[in-house]
Amino acid sequence: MKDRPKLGRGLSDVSRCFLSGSPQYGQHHDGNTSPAFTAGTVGILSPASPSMQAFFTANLVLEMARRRLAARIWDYATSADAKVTPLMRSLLEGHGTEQEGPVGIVLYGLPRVEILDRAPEEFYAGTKAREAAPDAAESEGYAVTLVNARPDIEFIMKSEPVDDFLIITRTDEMSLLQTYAFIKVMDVRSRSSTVWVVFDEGEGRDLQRIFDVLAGFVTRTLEKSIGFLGALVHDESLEHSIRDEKPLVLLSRPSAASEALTGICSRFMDGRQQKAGETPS
Amino acid sequence: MMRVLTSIRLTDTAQAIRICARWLSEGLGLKVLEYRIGNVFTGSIDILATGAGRVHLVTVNTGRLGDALLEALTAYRWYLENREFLDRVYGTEGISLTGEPVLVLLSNEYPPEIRSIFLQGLKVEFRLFKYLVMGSEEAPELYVEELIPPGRSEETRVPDLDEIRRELGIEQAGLSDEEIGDFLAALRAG
Repeated sequence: MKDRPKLGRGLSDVSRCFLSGSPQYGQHHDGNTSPAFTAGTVGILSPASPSMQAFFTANLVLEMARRRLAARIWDYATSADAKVTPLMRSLLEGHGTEQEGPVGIVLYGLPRVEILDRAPEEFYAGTKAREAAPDAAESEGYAVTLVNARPDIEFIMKSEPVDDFLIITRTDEMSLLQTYAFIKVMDVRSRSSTVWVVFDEGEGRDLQRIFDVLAGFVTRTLEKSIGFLGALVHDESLEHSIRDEKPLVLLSRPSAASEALTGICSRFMDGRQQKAGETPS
Repeated sequence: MMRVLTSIRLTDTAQAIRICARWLSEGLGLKVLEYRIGNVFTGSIDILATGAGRVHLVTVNTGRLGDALLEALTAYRWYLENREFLDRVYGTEGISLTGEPVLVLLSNEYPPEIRSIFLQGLKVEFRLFKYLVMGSEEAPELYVEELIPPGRSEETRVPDLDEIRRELGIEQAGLSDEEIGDFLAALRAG
């Protein structure tokens, strides 16, 4: 029997997106529209867990799309478990076929998400990769480029400055020390970048207090403020999401993990918006 | 994300030795010179390695600990009797096999108090490592931890900051010893 494309593909995704109680971006619960999300580049990294970094990036880009924000991913990860596309395989246009160049995800009624696999060297300062790229954000109308970074110091030191860094870390001493070291390098590389911290599962611990200690030390030594977005929750739905290659934000059944994730995404987007409001353009 | 890993027991001794040799090289920084020298009658060394100017005679236990201990001590005797020969075969300008060796035992189980038993009962230097193999026989993953000598808990150990920097991949961040100390103190005080 001839295999026909199913018109109903994504129906559950559509329901999930359109019937969600979350406001779409630029719209508050009271119906008022807010200022547009600030365009820019966001570097995402999780030094201790590249696979969690990929998971987070994949979900963040879809959450942005769900809120009508045109976003794309530049994937500079080098290890297979840190790549974004395996986590979104079932959603990719023409999935199952090998294709060159960027791959896209189209969910009905939402902006197209584009994923471009790139070598780390293409993002190093001096290569003029951004200017030379035919798919530059401005011409394509993408508001945000999420950089799925190679999670090491060297990449940050060499790469082009980004507007925001989002670092995912565990809460043990060594992971926090590693995070502090990364923040220090981020600060040297791009003093104006905003750094956001997400804890990777810190259940049962006083997360705000841990963050306050980290933020206090960063402020004292680097004279820099950092923001806290919350903690990821690990549960069965997260495991299913990875196993089924379907991002958590698209799973129809709400779970603690998906609520935590969407909360983090919301705080991040609100935080960027607030920052834009404070900065005179 | 959380992965639930269950430990497995490797039945293929040669495979266990290969995996542990890789860890000795990548994790402990030793240079592996040879595998499985000798035999059960005269004593055999599972892995002959060098590092930090010392010869390391490594025994990998995949069966009963008592047998592995006897094998390690027999190997030690065999080494003492044959070290000139070994030096001629494996020694180079930078590597001498004539010195006092370190015995290394990797085992998936130890009885309690093993470390103090060794310290009181043996003169030769022993390093004991507990290993766990997880995943599957086809794609095993190795976890190794060293048994800390009694009276020297993790908390009282003086941390090697260069090692910490290396493990965390933050050498290039330029954190001073004082900065790391202050950071850890702030975390503990908070």
